[in-house]
Amino acid sequence: MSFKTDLDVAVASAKLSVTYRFSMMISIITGPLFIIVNYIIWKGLYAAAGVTTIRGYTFEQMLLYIIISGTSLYLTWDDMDERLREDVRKGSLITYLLRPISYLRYSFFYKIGHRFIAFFIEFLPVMALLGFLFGWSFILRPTLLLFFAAIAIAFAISFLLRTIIGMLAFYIVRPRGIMEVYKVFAGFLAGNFLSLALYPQAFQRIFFLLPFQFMNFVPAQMFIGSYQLGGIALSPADILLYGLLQVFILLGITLLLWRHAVRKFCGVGV
Amino acid sequence: MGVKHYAKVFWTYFKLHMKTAMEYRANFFSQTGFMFLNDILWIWIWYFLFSTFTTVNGYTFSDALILFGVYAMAFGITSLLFGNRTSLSELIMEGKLDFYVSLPLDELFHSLIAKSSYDGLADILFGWVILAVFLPEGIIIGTIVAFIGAIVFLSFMVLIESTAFWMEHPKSTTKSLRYIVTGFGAWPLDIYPLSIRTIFYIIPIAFIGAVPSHLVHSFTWTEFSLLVVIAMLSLLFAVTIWRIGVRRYESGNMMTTRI
Repeated sequence: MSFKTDLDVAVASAKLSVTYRFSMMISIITGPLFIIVNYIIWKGLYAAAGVTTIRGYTFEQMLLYIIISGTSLYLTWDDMDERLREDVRKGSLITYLLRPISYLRYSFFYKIGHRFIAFFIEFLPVMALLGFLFGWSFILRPTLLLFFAAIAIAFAISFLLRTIIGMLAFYIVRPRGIMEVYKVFAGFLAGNFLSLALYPQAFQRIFFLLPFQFMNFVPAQMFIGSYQLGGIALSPADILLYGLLQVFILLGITLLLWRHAVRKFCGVGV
Repeated sequence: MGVKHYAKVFWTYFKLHMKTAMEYRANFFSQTGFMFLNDILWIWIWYFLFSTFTTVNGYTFSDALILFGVYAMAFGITSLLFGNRTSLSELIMEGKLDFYVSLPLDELFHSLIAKSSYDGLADILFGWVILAVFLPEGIIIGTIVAFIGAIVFLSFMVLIESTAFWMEHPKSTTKSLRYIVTGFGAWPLDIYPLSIRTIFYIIPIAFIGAVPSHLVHSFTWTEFSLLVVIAMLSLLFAVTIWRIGVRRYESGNMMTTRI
């Protein structure tokens, strides 16, 4: 499978994403709504409680964390587990296995194309709204490059984790329940609901060892410009290198599991 | 066909869903068990927040948990009994509504009950546990008002999913709108300024969790009647929008096997 084929897959995926232009335009308006929701909730909470900080986070920092952590999901969102589950259940995986392509590589580049469009229709409108509300210097900060580097790692980690979870479909008839549960726990461990730095130190140390923090917490912290978890403060370069290490470990686990799992596949009568 | 017939269909579907769930017991127990754990995670999150400020405009940690418990029950009831509440737009988009419109049964009712999300059971159980721990005398009234809150929540879902009649690909829009309802619904109303609170009474997000949980604390027939009226009006409005929308539905002539 050549790089040209990879690129073709990404382009085809991007074209598919822009098929429904009107709906796309609507989502540009509805997408940033989550900023307004979180602004109202947290503004209200800080004001009603009469506090200026919650566990060291000011209202601005808390809002920034939640918005950036939520926005990064636009760029890293993945449904690989769902697609793999369906391909195994319906047997359509066989159409990929019979072709001279790697299913995992195909899916990865498919995701690149899909998220490339999301960058324009989901990510940019939110950032534009943030710039409009808080000033352009708020968005165009020197840490933006670090944020995108962290997003690249988050992109790979979310894909690999979803692939591992999706592989349950080779072993279990109905893995959907576990997949749903995974999403909830992954959201919690990634710092999607609250910043991981708000939890007790002992938990933070566990979070530090897991790859989930790279999906939400690390991109948001890179955007903010500092990283500390479980009493461990790392420079941006160090945490990004640690993220890369986690990617390679997960890649190894994924490839190992894939070799075993794909042997279980039965596509009789497809 | 009258109410009796619909109740019979409803009960038959419910039994079928439970039998299907029991066929894959490991999946059933893991899904409900872990969903219960997920709800407990939220207690933890609330605990961290309240450990900083103790009360929010008079709202204590236990008040917030009771609200979350009642809200989780309302959410769980719709998941369990009307499992397709977040998939209606998908049915419309993919032409899968054909099956329901061609049968002598209300297509909205039928499509809603055709699926069940068993994890809703965990949310209901969670609500009961919260009430049993923090306000045992409120279990019965809490269950009743959660059912009524569930009607309001279901109406919101039907309205949101109905956008698929006017939009070709509404997935991201329905997701954002759902986020608004679930995002605001689980938080105490008292944290918002009066203007926002008024909006939530008009929209009426307040009637999913906040008003029902207030009734659990201090029941009055006036507030209860208001909740019932709002629930009925919300449902009526949602069904009306669905009826207008369904006229625009175009069959995809899709031939599928329903297994």
